[in-house]
Formats: sequence, structure tokens, C-alpha cells
Amino acid sequence: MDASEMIKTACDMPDARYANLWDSIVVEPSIKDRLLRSAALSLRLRAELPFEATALHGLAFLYGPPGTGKTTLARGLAYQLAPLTTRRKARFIEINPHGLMSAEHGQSQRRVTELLTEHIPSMVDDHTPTVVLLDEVESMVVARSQASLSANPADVHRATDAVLTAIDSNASALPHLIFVATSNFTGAIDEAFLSRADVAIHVPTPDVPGVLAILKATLEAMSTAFPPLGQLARRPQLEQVAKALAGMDGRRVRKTVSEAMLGRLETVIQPGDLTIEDLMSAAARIQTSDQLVQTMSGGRNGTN
Amino acid sequence: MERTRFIAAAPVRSASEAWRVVSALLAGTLERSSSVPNGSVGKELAPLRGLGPALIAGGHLESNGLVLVDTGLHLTVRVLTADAALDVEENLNPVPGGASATDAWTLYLPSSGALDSAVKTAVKNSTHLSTDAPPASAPAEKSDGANRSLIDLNALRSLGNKP
Repeated sequence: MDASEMIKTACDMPDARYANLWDSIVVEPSIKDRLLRSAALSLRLRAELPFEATALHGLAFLYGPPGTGKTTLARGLAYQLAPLTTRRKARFIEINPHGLMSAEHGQSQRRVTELLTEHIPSMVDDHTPTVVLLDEVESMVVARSQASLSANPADVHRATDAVLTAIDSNASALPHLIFVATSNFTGAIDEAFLSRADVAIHVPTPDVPGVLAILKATLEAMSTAFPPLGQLARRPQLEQVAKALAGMDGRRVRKTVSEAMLGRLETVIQPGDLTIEDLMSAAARIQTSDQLVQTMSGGRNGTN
Repeated sequence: MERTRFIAAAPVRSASEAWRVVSALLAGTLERSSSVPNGSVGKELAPLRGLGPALIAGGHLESNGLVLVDTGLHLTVRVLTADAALDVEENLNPVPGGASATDAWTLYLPSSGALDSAVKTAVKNSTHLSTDAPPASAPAEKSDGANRSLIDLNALRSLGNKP
């Protein structure tokens, strides 16, 4: 299989396309600090000490509900790391997990092994510090203890083995390589994979100040095209909207602004005319819609 | 890390063509390094131009293979023939580790029975070809902590000054 089918992105940092990703995610500052420090520490220690001394695999694991910014943080990490390296350069590679799995016997294992022990090592052969994103990693490292052989082909089990073996061998052979794995389903991930993570960071849904910050950031970003939205971002009543959206993930909070705009034809034509009332109405609609979805999914799953 | 690459010879391709594939793989791997000039690997392999295909045709690279060794690089190249050649999954991409190859790389040739003396004569004056037994693993990279450091500590300190 061609490497291009398994690799979604590969680029060197600094790359302007990645400049704002890190800052665009509003989370508790300690989350970003831990992720960046763990990457820097891993590069520092693994370059100078053997694996037997550090026990570091160069694997960071981000977990939490969908829409909280895990993937974006991982995508932004290499850009943040570049100025901290001696070469002022870092590389970012994103794996396409769906390009690895195959229904054909033995193919998943072969692709995983080929990718992690041949393609990736070749791409980092120049020793540039590199962040490899394994997004939705649960599709690659299925929990073998939870999976039934009838529901999960043996091939998938062997693919999990292949990932673990590759991470072990790359841990010492490629000290400039860091994997960042993300998942919404920690229960579906193999325990041996989780135990290899040097750091596991929970990325939760934002609290009310977090929601407020996301709302403000979204409105301010849109104010470059529609200046009145900048004033709306500074209105104290925005906090009421944030309270109404508490518990929602960052992605939903951002989408609340466009949801509010589509509430009236006038604001579709002129988005700068958006009001606090529009935002409150949108928040109410989203809450109702979420409750409906939860009821439907509860009924489908036989739970409530 | 020890790696093995398999190349198909007859009936997939002739011994001469298979030797060209092997040579291209070795050159493509080593010449990614700034320490190994473009075209230099081909020149170093020139004494084997006639013998390489003969080694393949005689099946001498089937079980033992050629072994390329350098700092952090240990590659075995086995050239298969007959049924085995039909089943081989070739990976002709440059081998990881080649980009940091040094000018001290060595290609070890296996024992080849009747061709042994011809091979020894061919490699006699080469600094990169050898008929000695290859080392079991690649020599470790020199561990010079300060020089190998990937992180700029002053840049790292500046993180603490950011608001």
C-alpha cells in the first residue's frame, strides 16, 4: 500500500497554517503546559539516556469528550515545539487510521508494521524532532481483553500487537519521535497501549469561564469581517449565554454563534446585527436539541 | 535496528536486473546522507558489477544475503529466486537510518563457494566492501549527551517568562 494512503499530513514547522491552532483551543492552561512539557522532556531525556533509564516511550495520550480540542492541540504541538528545539525546527505527521485497517486477512498488521517501522522512521531519518498524531487511536489499538474474536477479527488483534511492538522499538531507536494519541473511548483501547503512555491528559468540556472565553474568541475572530461582533464580544450579558451553554463541548459552543445567526434572515444577510437575544435563543435551541438526541440514543441503547 | 529487505530475481527479473535493483536500494539508502556523495556508492560497487549478478544467479544471496552496516544501520539484503521470488513483497524505499550514514559504511558479502576467491580479489582494494563475517548488530551511535541534545534549554526557560 502506498504511504500516501496511510499518512494524512506531513509538514515541517514552523508552518504558518499551524500558527494559530494551539491558541484557538480554550482549555485549562495546565493542559497545554503538561502536553508541551511532556514533549520537551521526552525529547530531552530520551536523546541523552537509554530507555532502561527513562522508561519513556515518547507517547502522550489525550482523552475526553468529542469537540474539546484534543486533535487541534495535537496538531498545534509541533509548531509550539519547534522554537524549543536546538534546530528551531520540528515535523508534524498525521496518520490516517482508516487507511490502515483492512478486512483482508493479515493486511492491517502488515500496514501498521510497514507504516510504523518503515515509512515513519524513513520520514524522520534526518533526526528532526517529530510529532506523530494517532487520532482516534481506538481504531488502531483495540482493547484485546474487551474484544471478542467473533466480533473482532484476529487480524485486528494482530494489528494491536504490531502497534505495541513498533512503539517499543521506536522508543529507543528514534528518541526524536513523539506520538500523540487521541481518543473519546478510553474503554475501547488496549491496556498495554495505555500503560505505555508517558502522560495521559484529560481534556474536559469547558467550564463557564471557558465557554465565555470561547464565545468571545469566536465573535472576535468573526469581527474581522463583521466589526459589530467585536462589540458584542465585550457585552457583559455574554456571560448569561455562557451559563446557558455550560456543559457543552468547545465545538458546540463555537457553532452556537452560527446557529444564532441562522435564527433570523436579517442576521444571515448581515451577521454583524447579531444580538445577545439571538445567542440566548440559539443556546436554548441547542439545549433542546441535545436533550432530544440524548433521549433518542437512550431509547436506542435501552438505557436512559 | 536490524532490517531485512527481500528482492526478487528469476523468474521475476534477471540476475543482472536484480543486481541493479540491489545497487539502487543501497545507493538510495546511503546517499540520503550528506556524508555519502551522490554516485559514490555506485563507484564503490563497481568491482562487483560482474560478480553481483553471478552471486544472485548462483543463489548465494538467498539465505545469508548482503549485509550493509554503519552506525545505527544494519541491513540484510536477500535476493530470492524460483517460487520464493514469486511470493516476495518488495520494499524498495530507502532504508531508515541511511540519512545519517557515515563514510565508514561497509557492505559484507557472504561466502559463495566457487566464487569466493573471485569475490575476495574484487573487494581487496575496497574500503567499503568486505568478505569478513558481518557484525551481529549496528555499531551504536556515539552518545555525546550535550551534542545530541534536541532541546534548547534557554528556549525552554523562556517558557516560564511567558504570561
